[in-house]
Amino acid sequence: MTRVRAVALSSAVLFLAGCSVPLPTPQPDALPAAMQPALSVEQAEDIVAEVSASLADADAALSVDVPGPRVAGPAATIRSFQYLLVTAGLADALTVIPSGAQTLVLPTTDEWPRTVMVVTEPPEDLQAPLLLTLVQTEPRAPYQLWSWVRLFPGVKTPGLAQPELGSAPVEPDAPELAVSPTDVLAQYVDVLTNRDASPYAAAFTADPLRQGIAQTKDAFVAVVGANGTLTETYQPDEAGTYSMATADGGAIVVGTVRTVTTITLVDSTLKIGDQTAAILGTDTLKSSLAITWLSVVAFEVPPAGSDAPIQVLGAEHSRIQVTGS
Amino acid sequence: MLHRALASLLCALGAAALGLGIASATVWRPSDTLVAQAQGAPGTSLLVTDPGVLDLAADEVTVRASATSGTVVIALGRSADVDAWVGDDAYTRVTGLAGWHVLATEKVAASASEAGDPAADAAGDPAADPAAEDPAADAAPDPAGSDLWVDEASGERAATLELTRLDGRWSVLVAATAGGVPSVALEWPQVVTTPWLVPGVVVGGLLLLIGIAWWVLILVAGRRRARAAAAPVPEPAALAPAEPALPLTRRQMRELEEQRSRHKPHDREAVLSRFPMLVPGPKAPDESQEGRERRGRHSGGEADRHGSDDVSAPQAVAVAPPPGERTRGRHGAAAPTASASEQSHSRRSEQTRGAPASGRTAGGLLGRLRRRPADTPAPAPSAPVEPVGVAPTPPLFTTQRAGTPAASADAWRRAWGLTGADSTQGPVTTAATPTEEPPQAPPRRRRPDGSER
Repeated sequence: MTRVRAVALSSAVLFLAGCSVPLPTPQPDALPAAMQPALSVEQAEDIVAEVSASLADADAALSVDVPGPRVAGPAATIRSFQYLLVTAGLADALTVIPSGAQTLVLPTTDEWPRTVMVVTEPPEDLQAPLLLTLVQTEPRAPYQLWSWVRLFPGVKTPGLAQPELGSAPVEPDAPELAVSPTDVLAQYVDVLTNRDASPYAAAFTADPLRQGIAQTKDAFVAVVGANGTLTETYQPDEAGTYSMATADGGAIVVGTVRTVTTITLVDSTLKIGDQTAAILGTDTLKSSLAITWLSVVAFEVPPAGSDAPIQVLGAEHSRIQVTGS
Repeated sequence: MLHRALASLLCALGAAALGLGIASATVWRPSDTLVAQAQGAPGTSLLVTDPGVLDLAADEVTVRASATSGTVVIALGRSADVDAWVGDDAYTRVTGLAGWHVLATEKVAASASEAGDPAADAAGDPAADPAAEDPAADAAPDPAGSDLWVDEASGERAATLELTRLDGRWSVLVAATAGGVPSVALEWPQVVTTPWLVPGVVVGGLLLLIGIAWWVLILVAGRRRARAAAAPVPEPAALAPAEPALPLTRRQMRELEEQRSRHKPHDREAVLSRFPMLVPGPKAPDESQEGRERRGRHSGGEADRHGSDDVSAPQAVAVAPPPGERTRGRHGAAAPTASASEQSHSRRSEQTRGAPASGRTAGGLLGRLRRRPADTPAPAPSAPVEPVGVAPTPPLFTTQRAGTPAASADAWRRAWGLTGADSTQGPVTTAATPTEEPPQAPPRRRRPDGSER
């Protein structure tokens, strides 16, 4: 009797536990209607920290050819030259890149390349915060520091979407802006080249970079004078632009401008100073001097239909190559 | 016999149901986790779960991965990211459950276009192109450390990653970085119900209790029958003197009184045999003699009057008869339940009659005492309130334990100049009342044992 009962009970238990419930099937969440950020805030903060740590390692190694696996593009180029300067004895040539993020601009995309922009905490030297651009070129690549710019003093950064919502990446030829990122760079180059004569001069607010480039050129012109020739060319760098949408439909566009200054001396000498002299190892040139500058410029471009001027948020202007004799 | 069998059966059934109910929640309890496993398809070092597989059975899942050699990496990422990371490589896709412990898988072959993807993007800087990427991907891709992952774990040949459900579509990527085929087990906690525990325990417990109760009834009934058959019930009276020295309650005394009065005087031997403590002490004649002499001076007449009623036992028990009894004996018509005032009245009249001279001093004291309710033992002046054995034993008396109060009472009487202990009340009275009684100078004359009859 009890045996029969035991068998019946145990089989009933097994039946209830095992056989009466159908196999569950995967029921994934539906694809969200709005594109989600590709990164969470935590991920982005981790990435910034990793980039900073990797950069610190590279800084310590001063390896000119490879500034670490986490640096790419104009940032790598500029950093390499800074290592040269440090090697040449200018210890303070390195741009300090803080690891703390003040504002994160996360991309809403599921494609590559992916762009993250970061406004850092102010550096310890009380300089302006930096705007970092991190780029992941393909799925198996890490996010790399593509550029950094120093935000100009007094610049008001545009309104940005919350990082939890994400910001849409903007294509270089995006039509939803007043001026597409590629055209922004071209117009800026035109303004650098032609100055106030440029038809786009009024489209850009005045900015320290433009002033600085002009002053440097004017100074060289004054020095060289009739003793030689000086040419300076500006062109958008082939590295391209990366852009992220702002809250008002505009975009932050980061691009690079390559400036080449060539001086040819005729029967005269040229006294040079600071970084150029350090790289060349001499402060007196007899024949020629060629300096290549790389300018990373961050623009705030208004959305299409807006009459507002394009504002230059910040820039990093650095020699990347110096030759002379 | 049938009852016993049925009761036994109930007990057995109850115990079985109890045990099965408990066992269903312990030994046979289903596992708290649902574990489903899968082996990667041959030729794939990567394994990817479909979105929704991770939270197939519960919001929390433990992913265990293993490989025959090398490092195993488990990475959690958005499903789109995982798919993008895997790219064109061959991999095994986990699509769901094939059984309760088996994951459904399908193999995704490698796409033909393998070359030429990373070169297109970052053209400006050769330093940025990770040169080590491509050869690694050709051997066995390693997802460890990618910025795509939200969580990851790795270990030598085995790794474990515990995950909690996140909103959105998430997948796990398992990679055997040294090549080979990874295997994966997903472990979900599951809510286990024990539907038979409570019914089993309740029903089993009830059955068991009923069976036990039945058995108890059977056994009790059997014992009762056996006792009834064995011997007749002894007389209850025989049990009464089990504690002879203890003071009896008034009611007990009354009952014994009545019992005694039912007996004829010639039953005294039988009474004595039942109350072995009522030993006729050898000194009793002397005492009674002495008491008779003394009493004779005061109340000899009364003793004569009541002599016919006396049992005339040479009792050593130092007890005076209860007032009701004595009243009845004295006045005949008085009810045994005479009230205290009645008694005190009769006593007073008796006192004035019986002890006019020597009771003078005692009269005042007694007057106070008598106002007490009849059944309230007066605190003074006598010692015999004490239980047997506490009061000192006068040397005159050599009786057994029961004689001690008698001696005390007698000494008390003598101290007050009253007549000796009243022995007429027979063996049954106890030390409950002597404090009130001795001063009343019992009117009965005491006689030596057997001399009257």
